Amino acid sequence: MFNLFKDRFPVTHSEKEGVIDNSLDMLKHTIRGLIKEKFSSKLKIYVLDSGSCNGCELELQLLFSPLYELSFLGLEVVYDIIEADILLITGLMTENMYVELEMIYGKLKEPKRVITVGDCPVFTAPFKETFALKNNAEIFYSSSYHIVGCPPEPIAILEGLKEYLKKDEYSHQKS
Amino acid sequence: MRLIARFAQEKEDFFEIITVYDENTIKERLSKDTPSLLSIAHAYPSAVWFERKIRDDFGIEILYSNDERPLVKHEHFPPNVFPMRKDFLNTVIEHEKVNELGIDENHGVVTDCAHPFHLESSQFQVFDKDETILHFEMMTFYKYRGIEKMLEGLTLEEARPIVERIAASSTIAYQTAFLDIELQSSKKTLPKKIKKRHMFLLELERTINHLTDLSVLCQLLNFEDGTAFFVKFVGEGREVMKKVTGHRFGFSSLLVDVKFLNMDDAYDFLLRLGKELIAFVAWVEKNDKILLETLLVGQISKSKAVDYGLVGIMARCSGIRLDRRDESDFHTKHDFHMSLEEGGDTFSRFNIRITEILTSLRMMRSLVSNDILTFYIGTPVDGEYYSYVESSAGELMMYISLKDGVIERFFVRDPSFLNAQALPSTIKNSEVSTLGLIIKSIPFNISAIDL
Repeated sequence: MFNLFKDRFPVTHSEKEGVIDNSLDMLKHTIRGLIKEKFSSKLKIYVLDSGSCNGCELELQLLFSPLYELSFLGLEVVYDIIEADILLITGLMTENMYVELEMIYGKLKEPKRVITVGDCPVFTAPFKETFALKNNAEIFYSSSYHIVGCPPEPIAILEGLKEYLKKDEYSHQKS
Repeated sequence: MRLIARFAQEKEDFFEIITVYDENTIKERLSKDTPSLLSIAHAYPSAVWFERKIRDDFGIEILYSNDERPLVKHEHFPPNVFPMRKDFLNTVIEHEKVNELGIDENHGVVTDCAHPFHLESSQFQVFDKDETILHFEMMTFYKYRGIEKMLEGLTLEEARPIVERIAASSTIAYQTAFLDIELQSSKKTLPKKIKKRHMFLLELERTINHLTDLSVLCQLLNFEDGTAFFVKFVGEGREVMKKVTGHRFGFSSLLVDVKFLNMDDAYDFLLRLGKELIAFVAWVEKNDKILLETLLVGQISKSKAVDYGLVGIMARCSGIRLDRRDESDFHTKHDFHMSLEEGGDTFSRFNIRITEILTSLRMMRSLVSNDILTFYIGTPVDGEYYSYVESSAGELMMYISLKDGVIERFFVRDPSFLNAQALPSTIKNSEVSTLGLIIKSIPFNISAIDL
C-alpha cells in the first residue's frame, strides 16, 4: 500500500546533524513565521513510533516540554491523527507497527505530509534485517522530509522542521 | 527464591530451558519431538510472560499454564512459525490477514497505534465501572524488532552497536552488562580507574532517567513549577552526558579507550543539581499537593512485590532490600547507600527517585576523574555468560552463549519485563483519572520489553 505514495513527494534530507548555526530564538522566530504564513498559526503534529529505542521519543518529549517553550509558535502535538497536519515517524518499521501505520496514514488528511525522524526509519541505524522488520523500509513508505541523527537532538529536529516548512510545496492558508 | 528469568534455547538434539533464580540456576532438557514444559507460574506469577514468550518463540507447549494467549506474536503472525528455532532463517514472513485467522477476539490484541505520547493507547486495555478500574491489561511486542534473532551468528564486536540501541534511556546499563560479558569471555578485568568511569556514567544515566520521570509525574499532577524544574535539569543532564561521552544518551561510550571529554562542567552540574534539589524538596514539603494526589495511589504491597519478583524502585519502594549495587564493595566504597520506602504507592515512587538522585550525585562526586586509560578486550572464549547490572529501572540480566566465536543465543531480561507485569495489580481499583500517573510512576521501557 505504501508504494502507492512513495513517489508523491520528493525526498530530501536535512543537511546537517546536530550542528545548528542559528540561535534557538532565531530558529523559533523563523518557525513561528512559517507556521503563521503556511498553516494559519497552528501546526498539529502526530508522532508515530514504529519500533524505536525510545531515543527519538525522549528527544521529542524534551523538545515539547516547557524547556523549549514551543507552544507560542503554534506548534502542537495531537493524539488524534484526524487533527494532524504532519505525521512524524520514528523507529524501525516493524511488521506489527506497519499494520498500525497503514491505518494511521490512511486517516492522515490531504495533502499527506510525512517526516521521518532518526536513522531507524530509513534503516541507516546499525540494525540487521529480521523477519520482524519491514526490510528496506523506504520501499514501503516514503517521506517528504527526513531528519537524520541517532537520535537527532531537539534543536536538530526543530531545524529539520524549519527546513521542511520552508520547502513544503503543499502548504496553503487554512480557511 | 526470587525468579530472575526463564528462557529457552535450542541445542543440536534438544531444547534447553534455563530458569534463573537469585539462589541458583536450573536447566531442563526437552525433547525436540513433542516439547512441553511444566509451568511454574502458580508459584512465580511473573513466570507467565516468560513462558508465553517461550511458547511463541520455540513452539514449546506450556503445561498447566494459566494464560494461553500469545505474547510476542500478534494476530497477523502465522501460528506455526517459531522464529527463534534454528531452522527458521527467513528474513521475511508472509503475514496473514487478521480476519482470516479466526482468532478469538479475547486472544488478540486491539488495533490502534502505540504512541509514546499516549497514555491511553491500545497498549493498555482498561475496563472500568463508575470511574473505578476493574481490570487492566497491557499489550506488548508492538515494537518487536526480533533483536534476539538479529544477534545470532554475530561476533560480540558486531553485536555491540545493536545491543546499545535496544533501549536508549538504558544504553549505559546495556553497554555495562555487555562489556561485562565481553570481559568474562576474554578472562580480563577492568582497571579500577575505568570501572570508576563506567560507574559514573551509569549513575549519570540513572539521574537523567529519574529526572525525566519526575518531570512527567509533575506534568500529570499539573505541578508546572515542578515540571519546569526537572525538565531544566534533564536538558542539562543530556548536555553533560554529551560532554563526557560525545553523545547525549551515551551511545558507544564504554569503549574503554574513549576519553572523558569535559569533566569540569559535569562537576558543576552535580553540585548545582544537588543544591537546587535539596532546596526544591524543602519547598515542596510545604506544599502538600503532591502528597494529597499521590499518597496511597497505585499501591503495591510488599508481599505482592515479592510474588511478582519486582526489581529496582518497584521493589525498594515496597520495603524490599534489593539493589545489585549493594552487593558490590566497589559501590559501597563510593558512598552508596540503598534508598528504601515502605508505602509502595506513587508517593513512595516519587520520593525514592529524589533520594536516589541525591545518592547518585554523591557517588558521582567521588567518581569524577580526568584520568585517561586505554584498555583492549582480548579474544572471547566460547561459553555461557551471565551479567547483572542495576539500571535506573532495576536489575538488568543479560545472557550470551558463545559458540565458534559467535553468538549462539542472546537473551536479556530488562527490569521492565517484571515491573510491567505488576501493572494490573497495581492499577486495579484505582480511579481512571489516576491511570496515567500510576503508569508513569512505574519505571518500565516498552522498547526494552518488546526487543
